[in-house]
Amino acid sequence: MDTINTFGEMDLYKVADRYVEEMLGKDNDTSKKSSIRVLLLDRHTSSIISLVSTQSDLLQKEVYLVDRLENSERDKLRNLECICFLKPDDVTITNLSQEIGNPKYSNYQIYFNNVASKSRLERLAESDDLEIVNKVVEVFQDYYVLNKSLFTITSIGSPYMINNTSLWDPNTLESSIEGLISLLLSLNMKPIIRYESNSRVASKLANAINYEITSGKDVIFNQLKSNKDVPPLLLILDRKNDPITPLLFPWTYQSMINEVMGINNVRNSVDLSHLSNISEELRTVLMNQTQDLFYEKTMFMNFGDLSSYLKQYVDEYKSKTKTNSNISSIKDMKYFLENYPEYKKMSLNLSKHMLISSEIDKQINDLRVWETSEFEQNLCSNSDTAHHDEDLKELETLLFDIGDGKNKKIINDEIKMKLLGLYALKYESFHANQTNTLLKRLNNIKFDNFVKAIIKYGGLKSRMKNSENNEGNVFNKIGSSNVNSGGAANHVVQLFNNFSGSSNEDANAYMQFEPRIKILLDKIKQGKLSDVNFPTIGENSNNPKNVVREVVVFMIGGVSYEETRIVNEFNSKNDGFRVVIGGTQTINSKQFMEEISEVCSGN
Amino acid sequence: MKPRILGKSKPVPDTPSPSVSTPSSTIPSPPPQSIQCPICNIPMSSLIKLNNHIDSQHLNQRQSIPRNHYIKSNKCHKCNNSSITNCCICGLTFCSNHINRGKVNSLLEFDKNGIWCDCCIDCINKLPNIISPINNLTDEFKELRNKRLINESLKNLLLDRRLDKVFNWMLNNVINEESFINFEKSLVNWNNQGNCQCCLNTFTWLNRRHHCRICGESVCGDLQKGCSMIVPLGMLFELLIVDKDISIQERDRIRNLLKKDKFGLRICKECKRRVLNKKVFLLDKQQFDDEMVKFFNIWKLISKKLESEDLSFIKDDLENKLYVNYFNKLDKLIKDIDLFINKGNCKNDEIRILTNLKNVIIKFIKINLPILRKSQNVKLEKERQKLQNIINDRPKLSKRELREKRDKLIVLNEQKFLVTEMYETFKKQRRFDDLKTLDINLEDIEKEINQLNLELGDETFTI
Repeated sequence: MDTINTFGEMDLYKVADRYVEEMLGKDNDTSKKSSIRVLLLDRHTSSIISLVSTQSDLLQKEVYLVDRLENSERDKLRNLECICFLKPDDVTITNLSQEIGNPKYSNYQIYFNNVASKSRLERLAESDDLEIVNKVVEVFQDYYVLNKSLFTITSIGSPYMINNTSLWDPNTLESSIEGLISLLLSLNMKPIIRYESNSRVASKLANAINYEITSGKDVIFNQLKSNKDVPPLLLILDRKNDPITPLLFPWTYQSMINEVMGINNVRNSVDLSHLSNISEELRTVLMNQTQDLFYEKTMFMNFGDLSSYLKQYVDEYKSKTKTNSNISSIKDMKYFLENYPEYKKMSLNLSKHMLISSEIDKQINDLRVWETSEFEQNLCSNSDTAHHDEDLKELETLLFDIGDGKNKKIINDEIKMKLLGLYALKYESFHANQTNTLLKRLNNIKFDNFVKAIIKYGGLKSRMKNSENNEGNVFNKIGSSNVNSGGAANHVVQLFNNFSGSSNEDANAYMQFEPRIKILLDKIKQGKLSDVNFPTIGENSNNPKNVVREVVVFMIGGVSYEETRIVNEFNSKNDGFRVVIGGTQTINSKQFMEEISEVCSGN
Repeated sequence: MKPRILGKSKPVPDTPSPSVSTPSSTIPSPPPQSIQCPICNIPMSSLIKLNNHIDSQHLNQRQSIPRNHYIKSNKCHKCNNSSITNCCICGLTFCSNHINRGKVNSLLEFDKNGIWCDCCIDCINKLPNIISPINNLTDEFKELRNKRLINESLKNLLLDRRLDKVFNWMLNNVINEESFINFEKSLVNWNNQGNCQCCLNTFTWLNRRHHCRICGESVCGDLQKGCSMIVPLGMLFELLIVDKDISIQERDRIRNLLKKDKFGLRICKECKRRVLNKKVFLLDKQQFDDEMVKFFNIWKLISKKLESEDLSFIKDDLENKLYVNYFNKLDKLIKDIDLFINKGNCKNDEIRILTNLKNVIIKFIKINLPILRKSQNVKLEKERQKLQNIINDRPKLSKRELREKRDKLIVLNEQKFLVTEMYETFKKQRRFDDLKTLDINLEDIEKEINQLNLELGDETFTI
């Protein structure tokens, strides 16, 4: 038996690595001569692969040419081997059939990233007159890997039909089914499925997934070899049951990057080209935790810890370069030159994070996030309505720019809209609700529409009822166990901790709120998720104890990076549990508000 | 298997032997202090414990969990609380905070077909690694492909035969217009259909009917649609010899013959797909053994050799020379690649591949050359040290000894000169017997001179 602590993580990058190795790894049989290889991708798989490996990885594996199958300009090079990594959809199968009917390369190894139906396989076989296809394999990766435990499906877009959040957009539904099926297969899972009973979209997806698993259409599900004693869980959630989390300003690094600049799902990158004086290499920067150790360490840190860590990193860099800055002897020079690539890499990485964090800092000050966020947190970290008057007063101050408005910048409409939306959600059923009065005073049609939309999307009528079991509660305060340890002598850190003010807890004032996902995960751990709110379909038998160890959470309507942080925290605190989270897309408050306004625009 | 609820159903519903299940009537109302398992008579502290015990031990007799590894203790292994529950995997005892439930089989592994047992948190934490499955469809694909190829193979065989006939005719006949036309018509009977068998257009006085010479079907000659085309015999010949074994002289003879005549065979799209495509593909493959592959192979060869060597240590000059040579070769390879690219007759994709290859080589050099440099320095340092040691280690000679030895050396050198002279004269006089003795003499003198030289070292001639 293995030694302790060798239990496996549920790391999506490792899954991806295994598949890349399977496709591009060198053949074990050494008798075969190695040769130059071509990798053909399609529009889906090219981003899937670029999210998990780099060009130099591919070169290392003797792939000297990467191209798209759709590209008809490719030259005929009939002495090269070709590896195809493709999504088995109709368009690609048609293209591939044409390709092998009139081959550009000497032979083909085809890897599909999802289940390929028999009829498509037949179509392919029909065009292979020259018998040049020598391998057809299904690997399962029809989803984007963004973090070790975060994925999204490949069609980025709103899951809802316009004007009706209880219906799926057909394209997104198909993509969600495909993505989830391939994810489950790649994690070797035949799960039980639970979904939120009040959401039609969740129920629809759950049933579709269940059908795929049990219909026997995908034979592979029955071939999964696993000796797990308890089946894993697929939990399908609807964003509408927690509209609060994506609206609040997050205070951890990765979430802040996404909130302020937006992390692109397709490339997992941030666009910095709008900043002034940006060198060519830093125009778009990748946010891949496996390639950037600094990021890996800091991505879940709060802003205070981040700045002190960044300072440390700068000092380290300085001390390293300083020892070499006084290059007096030839020996020093040689040493410096020999390590030059590393220095360059380090300095590039350093400037990347300096740029990002200073931009975040600038935005926070410009947008007066210090004030608005404190209000947001106070408003949303409890569900009692006793503080209504104070909340209202503060909201008015922020909305109408009351107070010493001389030096301060005016809060922009987007943030005001967000604050008003939060207020409207929190005090929706409160007798002295002032939302309409406030709207009248603002006299702005944009505000009217947004508040209407968010109430329609995630108001009391639409949300899960908050009963005793707390499963519908969206206004939560963080558990007292979760404490920020400050203590670094840094300006920002002090600011951060001081704001908790007179409140006797040492909890951070900006991180009082706890996303609903945390409550749900705790309930899953205890086996106490209610059957009424989260009904089960699929392989339900034989699990009377509700024991679960592996969970895939799928959020229809978009997952926020803050929820990813919660999942990561949960994984590291609970040995023996592994959770991955994903969604139809990732969202920040801006994207979320735009989406709601779009899908709930009608009456 | 359904969980059993005590009191409502019989406690051991699945036990096959009826004699065992009979004592069940005593279970619903046992005296609280003396609960016993009705099967194995072990005393239990509570009904819940008994319930769990029966679940885990007796519900499935075929998969009994061995218990001989249980450790007797009344302290929790983790927190010193009192406890009597054993983890059925590691056998240690734990309190209720550190115990959970899992399904375990008789080999003490987690198994979905196992039975519910008490397991400690630590054992549960050792979740297995995820093994991402792959599904190999190659066999299924090949089966599908073969099914189709077998269906087609009969027709293809027929067409192949006719092509062979064409080939033989080219080899063995005098090629002129008359013979060609006769031969062309003798290959296959022509079918006269009303429309083109490829594009199904009806023939008119504008859209003329033609016949494919290989299959005999009627086809149109529209070049845009490519339903049929006249393939020059010369081109056809090149395709046909791809998989045939013919001497070079014979090839050149036929090539010359075909060069003069401008004959061609009309071949339809379908026949091209069925029999010619394969030959075109083979021909292409043969022609493509080019520079690019050569560059790649050189690179592979050198990099493999360098990777198998340990660059951080250099044994001797020979090895050093070898390594330096490898790097020189790589350098030359890069220059060759550049030259090749700049020649300008590369395809775009070739340029991309070669640029990538070049970058890989440069990266390799950047990583490995400093290692070699370092070890070269180490080696140089070592040699210098050695030399220094040799110089330092030589016993110092006193001035007198020095003088004596120098004198001796001079005397010996003179002797040597004399003996050599004598040797020459004896040789001229052909006194070979004396030569032998002189030889020995000379050898002795030389030995002594060498010895003295060594002892004196650098100070041989300084006065």
